[in-house]
Amino acid sequence: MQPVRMFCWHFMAYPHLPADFDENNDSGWVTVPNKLWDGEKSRGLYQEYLGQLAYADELGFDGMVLNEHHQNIYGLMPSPNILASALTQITKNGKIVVLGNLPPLYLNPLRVAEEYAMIDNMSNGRLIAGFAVGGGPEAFNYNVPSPQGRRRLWEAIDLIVKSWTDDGPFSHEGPCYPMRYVNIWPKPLQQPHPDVWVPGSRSVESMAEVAKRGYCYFLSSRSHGGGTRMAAKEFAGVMKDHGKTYTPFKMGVLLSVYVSETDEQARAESQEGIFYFLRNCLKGHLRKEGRSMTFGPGVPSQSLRSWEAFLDSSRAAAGGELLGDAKDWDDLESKNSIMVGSPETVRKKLWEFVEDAKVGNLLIQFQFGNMKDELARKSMKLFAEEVMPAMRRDSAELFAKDFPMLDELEAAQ
Amino acid sequence: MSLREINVRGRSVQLYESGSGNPLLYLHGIADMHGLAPDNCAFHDFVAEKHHVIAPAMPGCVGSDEDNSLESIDDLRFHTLEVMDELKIEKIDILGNCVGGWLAAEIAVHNPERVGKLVLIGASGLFVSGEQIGDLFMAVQPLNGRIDDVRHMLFADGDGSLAEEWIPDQLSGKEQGMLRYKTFRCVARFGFKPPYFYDQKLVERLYRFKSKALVVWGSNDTFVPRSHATAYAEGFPNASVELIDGCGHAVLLEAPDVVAEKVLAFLS
Repeated sequence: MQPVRMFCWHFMAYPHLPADFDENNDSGWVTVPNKLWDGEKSRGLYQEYLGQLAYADELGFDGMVLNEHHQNIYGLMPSPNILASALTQITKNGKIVVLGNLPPLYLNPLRVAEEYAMIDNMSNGRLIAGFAVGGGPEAFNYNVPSPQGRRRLWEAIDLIVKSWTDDGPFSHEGPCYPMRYVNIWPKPLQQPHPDVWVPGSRSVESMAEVAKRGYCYFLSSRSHGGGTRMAAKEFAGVMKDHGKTYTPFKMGVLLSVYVSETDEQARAESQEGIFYFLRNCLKGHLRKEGRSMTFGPGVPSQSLRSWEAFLDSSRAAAGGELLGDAKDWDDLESKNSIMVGSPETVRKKLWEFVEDAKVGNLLIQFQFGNMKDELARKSMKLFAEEVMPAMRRDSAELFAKDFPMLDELEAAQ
Repeated sequence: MSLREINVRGRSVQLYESGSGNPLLYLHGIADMHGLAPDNCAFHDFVAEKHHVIAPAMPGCVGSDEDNSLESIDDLRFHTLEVMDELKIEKIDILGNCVGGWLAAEIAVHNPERVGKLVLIGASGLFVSGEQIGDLFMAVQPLNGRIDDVRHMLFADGDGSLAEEWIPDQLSGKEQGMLRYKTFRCVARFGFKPPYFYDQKLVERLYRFKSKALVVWGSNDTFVPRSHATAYAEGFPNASVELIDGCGHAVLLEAPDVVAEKVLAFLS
């Protein structure tokens, strides 16, 4: 029986902001002045971050996760495929999860099909191919009108997957991406094609698109508590409506963890990096202070139905409180979005989460903001040695009990 | 006054009608009836004293169905021609405000035979080098929970009560929150991506509309700078300009009586 899979997620934040960044800037996104980039201090930064991901592979994580963001200090990965190709050469076992490329931003999605196929070959079949629509900041950066983003995304995904599975040349009619000759070289190594993951934030429309194609749904919402369980339940329901069977491995979730020897030490060591992440990196994104580019009428990315549900929700009533609005450590703890503590504490919190939500792919952020390399590595090591084994053992038992059909499904594949 | 829905090629379009007299097709903007308010405003009442005002809501605005195929001003132009066909309007005077002004100008140059007189108020639609149309979408994204920027972009007195009433920070009730979201979803379809609320070639095609045109502008418009008024007036062979002092983009909310007087004088 398959246990829960644990991946090491990285944002690759810009770590050299001045101490007064929050006071003097409205946003860490789109308009954040790039004169703040310090070339000398940043020498070796990508090597450091890639080194952490390679270390995750050594430690036995199930994979490494990259993502795409533009013109921001939150994530220095405008092209995750460049980093993925580096990982193909410095890692051996783990999956390389690119979550994801943002096809609506591109004129031709076949470029993504080609690059993913290259990465799959270069990694000996270790790619997990993620596709996302892009958030508010990307809409501003790349001129993508939000109401059209989803239509472009799904046409692009279907075209890319078809370009991997069907023999070319064939033509594609559009409407967004008409193409006379679809005939990619190379084809991906994995057959019939690399696993496809698509993030969503609980909109029924996205869940339905993912479910009917049998892809993995990645919940990108950063607030946990009961939200993940509810989302898993909703997604299971949507899968059933489309004649598919939910298993924990049809869903993934983003978590944030810091482990140290004791609870006190964990908090003392992680506090600076975590608040750098919340105050600076989330400013303009998941924070009410500053210029929000993720929520608001200027980025009308949600369907009318979803926006109505948002206006009805308690979050709108509370003034749209987000993760980055955490006032202090206690407030942050109460939001249940970041698990910090001794191996024992983190194991307990994470187990409660898995037992409750029954999600099989845990994508875990270990490095926060300006956190030092040695701290991120220590946390990853303690996690791999003292949390991961128990999680694997217990989750295999749990899933075997709750999802007896898993073995049959695996055998059938 | 009546509010009803008509069926245009399978989609429901909300229509406001009021007054009697010479018919006038009214193409709404953002800070306007159908845009940020479900009802007509004082300006429309003034005009309806002399004219039969017919005002369809754009796709997705108030009670009109969304149209996912809407991607450009040309799509919106065809949609509006279809509304005119449905209403059996062969030729009519058109007044367009804000993005509705752009739409009106496009109809005038493509289909001049269907337009009598033309009135543009604070119309987007033109590219004037160095005089860019403002980024409405960024301006309406909350800054520290407030959307002062969009109030300042659309109103001469962005801190005043009129701006606050039309564009409150907090969603004062679901109805207004939905209305605003719908309007931005509609205009984002053709205005978010380049060309940003303009048609690069429109200025060279204005010559095609030979009938009389009136261009009305708030002198302090910071969404569509007043140099665009001059560009429209110079492009049309037969146009005049009325600048309204001290007003911004939302000139017909800020000075409804003054604007109505100019418009009525022109149309009569």
